[in-house]
Amino acid sequence: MQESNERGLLKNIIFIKMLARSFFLQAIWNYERMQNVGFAYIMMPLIRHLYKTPAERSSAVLRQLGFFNTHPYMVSIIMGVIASKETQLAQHGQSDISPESITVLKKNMSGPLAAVGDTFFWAIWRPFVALVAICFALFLYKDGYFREAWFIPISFIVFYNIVHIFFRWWTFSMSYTYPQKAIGIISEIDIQEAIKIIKILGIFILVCALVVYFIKFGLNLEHMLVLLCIFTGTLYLTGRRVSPNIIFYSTIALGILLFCIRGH
Amino acid sequence: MPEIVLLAFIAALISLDITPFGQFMFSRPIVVAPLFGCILGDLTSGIWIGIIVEFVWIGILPMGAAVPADITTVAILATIWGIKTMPNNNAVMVLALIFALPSAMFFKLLDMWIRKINVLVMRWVENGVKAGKIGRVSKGIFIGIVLFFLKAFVFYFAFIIAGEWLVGEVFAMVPSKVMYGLFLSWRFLPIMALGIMFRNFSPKLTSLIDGGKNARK
Repeated sequence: MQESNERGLLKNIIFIKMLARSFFLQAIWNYERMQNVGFAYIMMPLIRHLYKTPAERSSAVLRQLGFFNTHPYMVSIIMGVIASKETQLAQHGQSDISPESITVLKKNMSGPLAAVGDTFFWAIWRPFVALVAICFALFLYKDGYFREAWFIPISFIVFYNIVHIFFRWWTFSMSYTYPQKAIGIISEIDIQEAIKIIKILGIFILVCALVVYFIKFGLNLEHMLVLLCIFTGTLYLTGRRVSPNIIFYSTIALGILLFCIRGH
Repeated sequence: MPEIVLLAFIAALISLDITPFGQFMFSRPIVVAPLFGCILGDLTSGIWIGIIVEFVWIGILPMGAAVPADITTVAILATIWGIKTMPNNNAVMVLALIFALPSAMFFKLLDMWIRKINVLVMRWVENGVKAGKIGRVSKGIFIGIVLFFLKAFVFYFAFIIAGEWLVGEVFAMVPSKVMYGLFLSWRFLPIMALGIMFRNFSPKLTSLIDGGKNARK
């Protein structure tokens, strides 16, 4: 009983160490094998626990130094599955698991999971949380100042990281405990549906932000019309895949040109 | 000089969030621009710069092996240059933004060099592990973080000094008509930024405006 408790405690300590180390995945991001050293660093606590001789440890770490590149949050799923396979290999020496199969599994998982992470976290969740924070900012703007300004960056950091950190913890704990079922459970989550809902909410918040901006900063009808033209012009140019840098400099040039023509 | 060292130190520390540590989004423009605005005593300009930079370059994503232009640099440098030249002056903030954007390309170049140097560090780690020194993995991680920090610190230190001088000189030379024009464009930039954001969330809706030829699926 006591031995089982000690084993459980040790497993938890290794779990926490690996989770904490996963934040350093990209510390030596290199052009040759990308996040390979970061991944080996994550696996070190487990390798030290599983293997006792320097030769065995060295060989297990070398296995993790192959090419590896994925989304930094998605590594939590991969490290859980690989940790489980490494444990099986070390403790049971199962014939169906070879060191090569672990390397192949790691490579095969990294690409598709990176695509999911890029699509959800970078392209949808981060812009959405930024949009919510900025919409608050526009509501809080009065008489040339943002009231309760501290709330804007803090709300962005808190809302974003609630999902980020929960995702890392949940996916790692699940793939570490149930490696066989983990991918199945994750693939059952309808990410496309979640993206669709967030996009609809995002458009609603954007419309609110636009209305607030027009009310607070539209000085007169002429000024409002200019703002509307800039907004539709931006939509047109982005649709034509014009670089945001060009749109940015063009908007500034338009401001200078309008002032020179109109004089106010 | 101690103020610039302190600003460069904070900027380099926050920049670690971009690649080597965490990705908690402390390095996003909406966070760093208000932070430096608060430190330098002009929070309102900091928030506006954060809003503009966050939204205009929202589509720049670090996918795969690509190294995108660093928008954290744009936000940090524009806020510091603008406020140090003349706080609460919107035209100066636009001027600072104009010069901050090319600087981000230089930061990207430095980042690519560091990633090449990291190959040498990685090989040093690998050779150590082959020789039974698995402790080199942790040392390699530490070296990677120190290299990134030093790169960012030297970059910010040099660019804060150079940019502050440049923005100040240009501000003194620019005709008043152009300055008023910059002031006017300060109010145009957020609405343009909202337009880019709209495209990001609804390519299908916005495709009605450009004829639907380039709608992203």
